[in-house]
Amino acid sequence: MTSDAHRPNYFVVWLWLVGLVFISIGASVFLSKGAAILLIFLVALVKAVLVLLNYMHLKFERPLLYALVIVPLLIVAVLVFALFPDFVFHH
Amino acid sequence: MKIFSTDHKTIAKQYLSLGLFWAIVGGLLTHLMRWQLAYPDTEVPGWGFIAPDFYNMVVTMHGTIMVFFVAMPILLAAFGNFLIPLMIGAQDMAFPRLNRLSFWVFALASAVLLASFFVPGGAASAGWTGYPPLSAKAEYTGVNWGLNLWLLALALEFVSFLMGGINFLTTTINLRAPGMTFFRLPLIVWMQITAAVLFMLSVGPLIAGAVMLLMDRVVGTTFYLPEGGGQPLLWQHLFWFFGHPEVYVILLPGLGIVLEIMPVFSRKPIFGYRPIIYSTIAAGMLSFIVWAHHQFLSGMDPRLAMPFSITTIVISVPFALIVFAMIATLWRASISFPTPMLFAIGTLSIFIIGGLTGIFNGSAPVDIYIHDTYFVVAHFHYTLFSATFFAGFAGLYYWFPKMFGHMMNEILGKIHFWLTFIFFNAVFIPMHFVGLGGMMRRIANPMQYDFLQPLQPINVFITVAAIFLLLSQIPFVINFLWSLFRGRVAERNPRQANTLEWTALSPPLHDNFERVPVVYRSPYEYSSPESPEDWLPQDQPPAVAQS
Amino acid sequence: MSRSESLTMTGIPTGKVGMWWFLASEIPVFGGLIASYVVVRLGSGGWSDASSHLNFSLALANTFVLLTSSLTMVLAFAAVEDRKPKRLQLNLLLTLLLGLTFLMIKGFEYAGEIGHGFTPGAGIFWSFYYGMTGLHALHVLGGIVVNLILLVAALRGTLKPNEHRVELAGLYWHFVDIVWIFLFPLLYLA
Repeated sequence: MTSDAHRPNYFVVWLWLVGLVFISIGASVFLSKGAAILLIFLVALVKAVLVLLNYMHLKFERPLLYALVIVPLLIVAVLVFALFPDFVFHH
Repeated sequence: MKIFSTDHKTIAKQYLSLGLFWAIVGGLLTHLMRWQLAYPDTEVPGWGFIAPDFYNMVVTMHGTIMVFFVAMPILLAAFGNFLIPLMIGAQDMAFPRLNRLSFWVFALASAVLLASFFVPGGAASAGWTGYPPLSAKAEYTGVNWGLNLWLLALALEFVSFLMGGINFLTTTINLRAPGMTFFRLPLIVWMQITAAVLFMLSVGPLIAGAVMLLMDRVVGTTFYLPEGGGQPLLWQHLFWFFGHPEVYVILLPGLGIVLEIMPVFSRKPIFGYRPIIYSTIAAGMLSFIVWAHHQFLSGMDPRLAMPFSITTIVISVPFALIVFAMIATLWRASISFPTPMLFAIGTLSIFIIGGLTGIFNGSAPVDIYIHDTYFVVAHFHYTLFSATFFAGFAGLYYWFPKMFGHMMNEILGKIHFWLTFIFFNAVFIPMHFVGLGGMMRRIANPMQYDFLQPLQPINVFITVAAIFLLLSQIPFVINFLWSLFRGRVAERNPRQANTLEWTALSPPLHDNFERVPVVYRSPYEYSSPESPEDWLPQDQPPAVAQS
Repeated sequence: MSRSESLTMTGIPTGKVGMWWFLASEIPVFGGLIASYVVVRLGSGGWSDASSHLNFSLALANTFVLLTSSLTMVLAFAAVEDRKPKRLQLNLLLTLLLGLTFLMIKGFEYAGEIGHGFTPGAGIFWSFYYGMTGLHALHVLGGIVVNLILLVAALRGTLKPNEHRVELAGLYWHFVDIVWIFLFPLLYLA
């Protein structure tokens, strides 16, 4: 349960999310391909973290729940790395 | 017994029944396979001729059934469901209705898999590993709906076990009785939750991969079809990324069963309780980075061979520790040998052999020669059969009184053990040599190859032993069914064990305990100086301290 | 008081623990699919000409639709905490409508693409496109069904004052939103 003192301003978070979408679009239009891709994925990460911490209240939760997000992501990262030799640096 | 019960004990028995049914089906498929291998192109008694396509189907379904419809439901779902709430001192699982749903989704998965035998084209025949391109297009195997239903059955099974995993983990985290800290949990509970975590976190990529395979077959995508820009190797990675943790998902509960039984019949604490837990967690983490040892010969980047060989050798260390801990538990103990203990020690000895051959398979240079031969088949039967059947039987004989309120017959049990042990080894020891002699997996007729013909007498020997191994299960079936109704009535704690399930009635009440237990100590205080008896239950209040 | 409400050794409500475990298991599902997409695309020269045929504006609209639905969903949860049943009903209804809008726009997109001959079999990019967005859309549909059930309960007045289910449904809905937060740039912007 989140008391008022613990409640994020959901609307302000929404404004940030919307703004970040526009930044992504701006990046894809104005930046070079490589820079755009990097910025766009960083922005996506920031948006995801905003939703996780504020809308999903992870900011106010115990460490166990953070682990439930981080560990699966690490596992996916292992998979991505291991797939690089066979699919990216390929035949 | 209500059929749509939410009681975890009933649901456990439902999983057990369905698992035992599939074990019989899987065993009968063995009969077909082994007869065809020993006497190719002759009529199998009780069946008829086996065409090569049908042989592929038998091999595929034997593997699929044993891994997903026998080992998982019995070791995880049945034992986990029955034991976890009882051992942690809870009344039921955290989500009883979700638990009921998980069983019925599994029952639906079973129905779908059973149906796949009867559709035109028959059941799936691309191996239990379902590699594309063979599995990606119906015309390659001649099997259309069978393979689609196979994918659907697996998907439903995964959903069922994901739901079960959520229940096991949440229950163990939140519903422990007062005083039941994590480091007072019985080891089988640690094993079950580690297995649940491994399953929950590793199955995702295979679900993704299976969705992709189903789409290739039904919707026309080309994820795995080279002619459309796809890559078959992608499936292999996604499959084994799950497939390797999966074998530990099966193994850990089996080891947990042995770890519960050994102290009771040694009247001695488990040696190395915390090291075993840490080793289990380490092995669990390592299990996510060994998977490509199944792919050394797949054409994957050869630079992956060394790192995956190293991680595979390293993962043997925590398991070796657990094995040594088991042996140390037995060391200088007051050992008795009723049937559960025989099967527990049997599990240990057979698992050790399987673990040793794993070292050979896991080293890429050796695997170049033994990959896809019967040496691998021998290896995984030593590890999986010990975990599933020897440990499974150990658990059934041990907890039967608690589950059903009757004792099983000891004489039939001992006969069952010795026959199973002898014939299991008679089947699978020679199989190592057949594999080293070059016999490939999944071939329907070894006699077609000149270089295999000298090995054929061994194949015949294996088949005869296999038939006897199947027949050796008859004493168990008789014992199980007879004891359900006519076995000696069991008291609460016939073996004077410490864990909480033995404080409940046999079988327990709907809400398990007459009073919420309070836990004061670890589960393995046998021959403790604090007790006049050679056992000391977890919930017995400590003696008043001397002032 | 239901069993799962009363017992909690860790202080975290049992339902919440369960839902987070469920989400933890869903991360590798989409993670596996996305990981495959990323490595296959990186290894195959870009697929930019294929992805240029996607309808960027529709997907952008959908992004706003889903972001806003996350807002309304968390406002519904706030309404439960504040014990404001009317606000709860309104926000659940808005979330539901936005979710349906997402699916409608997606369906319209698919129809357009298939009409132009970009079927699932049209190439490896399209395989991934339909696979990823299709699996995501199925999850959106699941969320819509759950939200509908909650809305009906809210309208009937059968939601309890300290109802946990809205929070749990919200966690799922936000997860589905986060998946789209990654899918949108991966498919439409890269």
